[in-house]
Amino acid sequence: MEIIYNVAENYGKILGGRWRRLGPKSGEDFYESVLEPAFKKAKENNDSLKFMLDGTTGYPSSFLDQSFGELARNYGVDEVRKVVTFETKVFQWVVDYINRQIWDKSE
Amino acid sequence: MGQVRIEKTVLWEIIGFTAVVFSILGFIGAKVVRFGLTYSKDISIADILNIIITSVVTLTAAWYLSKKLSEDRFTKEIAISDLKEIEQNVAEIIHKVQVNDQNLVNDLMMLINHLQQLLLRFDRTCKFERDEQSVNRINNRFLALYGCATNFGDDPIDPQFVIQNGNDLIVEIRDTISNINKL
Repeated sequence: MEIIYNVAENYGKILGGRWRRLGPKSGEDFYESVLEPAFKKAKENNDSLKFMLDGTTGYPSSFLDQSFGELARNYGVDEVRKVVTFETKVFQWVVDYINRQIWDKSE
Repeated sequence: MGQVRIEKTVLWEIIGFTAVVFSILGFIGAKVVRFGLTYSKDISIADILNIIITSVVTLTAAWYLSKKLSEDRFTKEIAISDLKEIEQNVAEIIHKVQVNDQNLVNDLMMLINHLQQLLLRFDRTCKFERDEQSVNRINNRFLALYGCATNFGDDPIDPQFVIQNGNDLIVEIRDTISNINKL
């Protein structure tokens, strides 16, 4: 089964920086409140977890590193790649950044 | 810059046309000498046909060359125009990082998104003239700029690092345009 999570609708259209203490909608908050629990659940049930990226104003690199990067550092890039996928029409370059600049370098 | 290029092209077209005319005259002259052809005041139908066919072929060749050069020139001028917008956008990103106001995150994300759209447009404009390596180099430069300009963590964003990555991106695009111009 595929679990779909729309970031703009379910989390926020304007995303913040790396840490909670720096402001709302941070990468740390997204990781702890959304990404890690959803990833664990999907992994347990052998589901895939698809993130719909469109609809936000953009994804700061620090937000991505502290959320999707942290996930790869804690659970391994290969495991994360098996479970997490993305869908976007606007932010294909964000997916490239996650893959090439964050996940490839976490291996 | 565009005006100088247009004048150069017209000059080459005139030189080319003159060369073609002189070649034809030389060819006819050589035939006259070689075969001992005689001059006659009578005009034959073959002469008229020869002139018409030669003129049509010359004009068609000139029209085709002129059209091809004009199309190439148009693509190059659009690419240069895109480059100016990209440079302006990168300058705005650098300025925003230096000012560091309250709306920094939102404003920078809008500028970065706009820059990505400009790069996509540039990519589509020049896609027939560019090689895959050049596309990858520009993408990598963009991702490096994006990475450092939107890294909102404990330390403030380093403007010098953003300037360096912005300049690297612009230089890469300039190199690409320069290579397209050489084609």
